[in-house]
Amino acid sequence: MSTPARVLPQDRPAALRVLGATALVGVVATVWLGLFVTPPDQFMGNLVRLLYIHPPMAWVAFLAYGVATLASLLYLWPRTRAEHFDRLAGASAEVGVVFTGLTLVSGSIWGRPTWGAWWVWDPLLTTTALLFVLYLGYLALRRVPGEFHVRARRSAMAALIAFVDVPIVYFSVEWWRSLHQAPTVLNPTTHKTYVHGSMFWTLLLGFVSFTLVYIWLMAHRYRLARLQDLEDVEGLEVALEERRAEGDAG
Amino acid sequence: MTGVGTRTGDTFSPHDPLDDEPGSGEAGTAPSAPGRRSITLSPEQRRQRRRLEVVGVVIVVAIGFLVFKGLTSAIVFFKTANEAVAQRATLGNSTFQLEGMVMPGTVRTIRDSAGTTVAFVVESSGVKVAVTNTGSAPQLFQPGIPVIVVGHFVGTTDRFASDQILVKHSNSYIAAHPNRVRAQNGTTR
Amino acid sequence: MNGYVEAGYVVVLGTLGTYGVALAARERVARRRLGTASSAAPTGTSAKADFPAQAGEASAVEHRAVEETEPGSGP
Repeated sequence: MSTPARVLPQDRPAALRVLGATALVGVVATVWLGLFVTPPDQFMGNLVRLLYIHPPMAWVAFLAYGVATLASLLYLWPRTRAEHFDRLAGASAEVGVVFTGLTLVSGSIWGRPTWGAWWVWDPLLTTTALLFVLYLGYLALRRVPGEFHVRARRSAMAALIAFVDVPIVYFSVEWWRSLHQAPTVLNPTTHKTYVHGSMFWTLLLGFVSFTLVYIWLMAHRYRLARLQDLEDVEGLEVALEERRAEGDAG
Repeated sequence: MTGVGTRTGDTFSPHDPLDDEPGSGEAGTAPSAPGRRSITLSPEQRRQRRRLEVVGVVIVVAIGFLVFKGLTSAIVFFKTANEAVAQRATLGNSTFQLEGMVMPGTVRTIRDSAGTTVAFVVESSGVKVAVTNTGSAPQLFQPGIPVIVVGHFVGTTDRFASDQILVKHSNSYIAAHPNRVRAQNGTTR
Repeated sequence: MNGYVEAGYVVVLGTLGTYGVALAARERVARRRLGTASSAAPTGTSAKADFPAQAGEASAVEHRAVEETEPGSGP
């Protein structure tokens, strides 16, 4: 069996630092535009300002699961099988779970004043909650001990199963009756957007900025996974300590 | 997503301290292959395995619950006013979600000792249903918008008693003071 | 505004910030432990021979720890 490369990932590569700084600037700009520059909506008033963070959370979650699925496929395909695809899938899915959780929470915070309810069993909300739990299950499954490739193959197949829910979430507003409005950007029915002026550009900036945040987080999660795999090779004592620490942190 | 059950007997991985026969809760004796894999499950490891099992069960139950909710509540999240009236007989006094446009000029808010009540008429495809909602309406409630009310028909009438109003809104966003951005192209609020 | 907007922004930025900081911190800890592991772990495998240079690198990480928490740690 192959062992992970024994070179530590470079301490803090310049590209990652630049990416982090850009993402930070983008998020700050989004928040500034979203909270102070953009106008209130004629119907929602200031509550429209949640527009600039809630849809980007959902988009990043989809993106993260897409990357995890792609990486899982590449791992399953014998010709491209490599340990780094397993780590990439795990890293991306974990970040995706964080963003899915934020999708649910920010949506709930938006729903209470606009709909009048923190939560409804609407198709979009229900399938999104299912998405959250499915990928939590995936992350838990990754922790079930086993030989590296056994664990990785089992995880990759689980990732493919979990991803089935992503198109269901996306098309749920079209397939079933929903309280939730259809997506504003990348609408599955019309592929048009209905946002005006500065609101639109701020939303777009939000999408870009949080995508950069995703890449930064995912890159660091990947590096962490790499270090953890190296530690496993280092030996039992170290691995045990690491798992203990992981348990504390997680 | 259960996954806990399937294990291969082959555990020659030199770097997995937690690997052990499934279910053998007590001190594992040395498995095959590399000699240094003689491991005793520490209480810590046993606790971790237990925690993983609990997590697995919780997740499976949650998935089942959400699929159940999806099939029961989410597939038909609401009935429009005309559908509800058409199915009046079968609906009886059961609780469901009814959707319709709040008709302008019909909204009355009554505040008395019993609390706040909002009465209005919703309309869908020409069919009107009078709604009495116990409790105040949400902040964005107003005439001319689609709402979903949660409740039931009263007695044998076509009047609807609700205890929750959900305000639907579209996916369009237009500045409140549209002196610089105008809403053309028929986008509504 | 009315609390909901602020709460939404705080939750989103706070969670991403915390997650980012936690990742960076765990990465640092893992790196430091790997740096010292070669001498500490008696059961270490052949990999340990490859790590002598790591102690220096780990301390280099510590020096830069302050700026380790870039994007998520938003405003």
